[in-house]
Amino acid sequence: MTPLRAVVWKEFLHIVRERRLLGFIFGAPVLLLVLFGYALRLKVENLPMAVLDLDKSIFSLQILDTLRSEGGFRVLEVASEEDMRRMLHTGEARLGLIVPADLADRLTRNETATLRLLVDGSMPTLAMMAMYGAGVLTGDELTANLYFADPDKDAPPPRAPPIRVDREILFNPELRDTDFFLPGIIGIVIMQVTLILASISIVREREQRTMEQLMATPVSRSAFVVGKLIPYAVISAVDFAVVIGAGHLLFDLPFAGPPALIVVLAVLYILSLLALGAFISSYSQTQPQAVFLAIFVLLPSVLLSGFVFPIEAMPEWLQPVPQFIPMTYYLDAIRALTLKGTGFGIVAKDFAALGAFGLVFTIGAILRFKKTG
Amino acid sequence: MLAIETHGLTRRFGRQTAVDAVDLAIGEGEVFGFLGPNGAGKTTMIRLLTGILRPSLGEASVLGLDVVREPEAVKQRIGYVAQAFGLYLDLTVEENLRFYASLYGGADPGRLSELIEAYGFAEHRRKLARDLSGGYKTRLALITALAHRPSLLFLDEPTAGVDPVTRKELWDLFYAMKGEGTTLFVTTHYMEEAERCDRLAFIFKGQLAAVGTPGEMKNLLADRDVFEIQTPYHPQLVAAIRGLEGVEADNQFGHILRVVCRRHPDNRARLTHAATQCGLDAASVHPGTPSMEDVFVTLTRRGAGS
Repeated sequence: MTPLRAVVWKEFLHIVRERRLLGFIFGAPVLLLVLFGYALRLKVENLPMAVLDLDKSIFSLQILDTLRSEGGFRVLEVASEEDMRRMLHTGEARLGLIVPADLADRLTRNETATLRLLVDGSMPTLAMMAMYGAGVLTGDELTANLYFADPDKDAPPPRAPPIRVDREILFNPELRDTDFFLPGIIGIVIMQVTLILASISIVREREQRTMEQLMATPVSRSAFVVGKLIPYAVISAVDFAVVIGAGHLLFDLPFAGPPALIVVLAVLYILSLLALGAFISSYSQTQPQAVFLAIFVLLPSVLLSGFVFPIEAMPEWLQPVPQFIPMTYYLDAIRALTLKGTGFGIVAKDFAALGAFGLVFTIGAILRFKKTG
Repeated sequence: MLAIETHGLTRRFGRQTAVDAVDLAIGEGEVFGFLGPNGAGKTTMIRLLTGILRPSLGEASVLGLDVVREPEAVKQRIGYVAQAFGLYLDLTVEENLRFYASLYGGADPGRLSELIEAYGFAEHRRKLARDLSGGYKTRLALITALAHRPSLLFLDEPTAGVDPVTRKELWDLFYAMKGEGTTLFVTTHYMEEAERCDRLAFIFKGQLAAVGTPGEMKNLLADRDVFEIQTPYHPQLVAAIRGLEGVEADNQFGHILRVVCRRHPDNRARLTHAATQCGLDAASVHPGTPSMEDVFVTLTRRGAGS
């Protein structure tokens, strides 16, 4: 074995011997993807809705049916408004709907009937999603059936929409598209594993005091640093494939762009993170120190890369910061490649930036590793 | 050619001087003992000679190579067993051996099995290093440093915390290596190990206090009187003796208090007086012969006093 191959082989052995670490490497990203993926798309499925039906007509039954089938609500019929408010209070129901007694009358007269919707606003995001789901009440599919069917085809079209919904809690949500988040989520779960693995890789030798012995061997600095990172590069690449595959299967993440470019992007992104991690490791004296530093890099990467808040909306003095975060370039490129389906020309500058990150930090880590102190 | 040669070798850490102007010459094939109390500069000396620490001043050549200019060439030719051993506890005996051997540019499978057989690892080759006893961990560290057939081996307190039987076995191995022409540079603070070395150096506060064969070292006390006083530990007696003129060192061994004094005809009378004052029998004081321990303690006290 050459020294480089020996370091790679030995590093793989460390990984294989540490079972819990393997769970962290492969289990955590998929678990987090599933959690975040669902958390950020949260459909109003099986959301409990208390319904007080004062009309009991064929129309009100139709409304209840639509809520079940189209809206995906779990409809709980109640006998009084008092019951409804109690259920909303205890959380047994997230929404309450009061169907007025004059529903059938008004509809048959082509007048607008007013339903009252009570929304539990204690969890704003949930409320937002619930009201979005309740949109079926005014949707075309329901309302088309609710017009009084005049046998005379020449009858004038209805002057007013049949259903109006009065909300008790006013909330005007601006819904975000889940697909917009998903590529970023993949980037975050990969970063978490890759950055932390790399950041403890070198400092572990220091802490276990094997570094002293290594320094006395003729192994070159670059063979040592690169050899230590190669196993993590392989593992992170497999991880990325697993997570992006899961994103496709579970959340219909589209692959609009050329797959080859997504592969190149994944490799460059992983290399930039490994290099950054190795650099962190070379600056740390203990493993906890390295992990803290890694988290210190992780959080701004999530919050300042444009994952949640658009960079354009940040204050001017803060805007240069995202340019020093690999995640910024990854996000820009992966959104373009998965959602918009753009070609190489658009993402070339992102690729170049990630490559530069990888190169600079790898060289930094090698230079920081001194074999003669 | 000398295996190791240094001139004015000095290393400072901030204001502290860990190794202070050391001149040393060690011949090929020697078992050279490097003695000194904790913190005297033993490990710093080894780190300077193995090329993992740069000297502040002075020069050192190891196997004819300048350590300052060619540290990596030196590393290729020497073996080093650090105090912490540098073993990977989650790797097996064989894996540790293969890994370190490969860092020196390829592991010769024949050599590796030969070492595994010769050092008693035939049945333990697939055992994790973590599961080895203390003595076997030392052995494994030894063979990982030997796989590339270095002609000079640095051992930093290889027998610390090892039982006497294992320690003896390890020394047998050191002699076997010497027999194959390997030069050994061993740091220790066990006196009976010092006696086993061809030559010794004693370092205190970074400075060489003495260099020589074990016999020559004991001769350092040729102009001293050594006495043994038959007594369990007796604080008043120790205090009284330390106040006496000419007393350089005292050292309790079980029921014997050893005292080193500058040569003087009245030494015995003074000690006997002190002993009887503390309620001991006059016959409890009698002359002794200098031991390596006496040399060690005397040199340390002398260094501390100056």
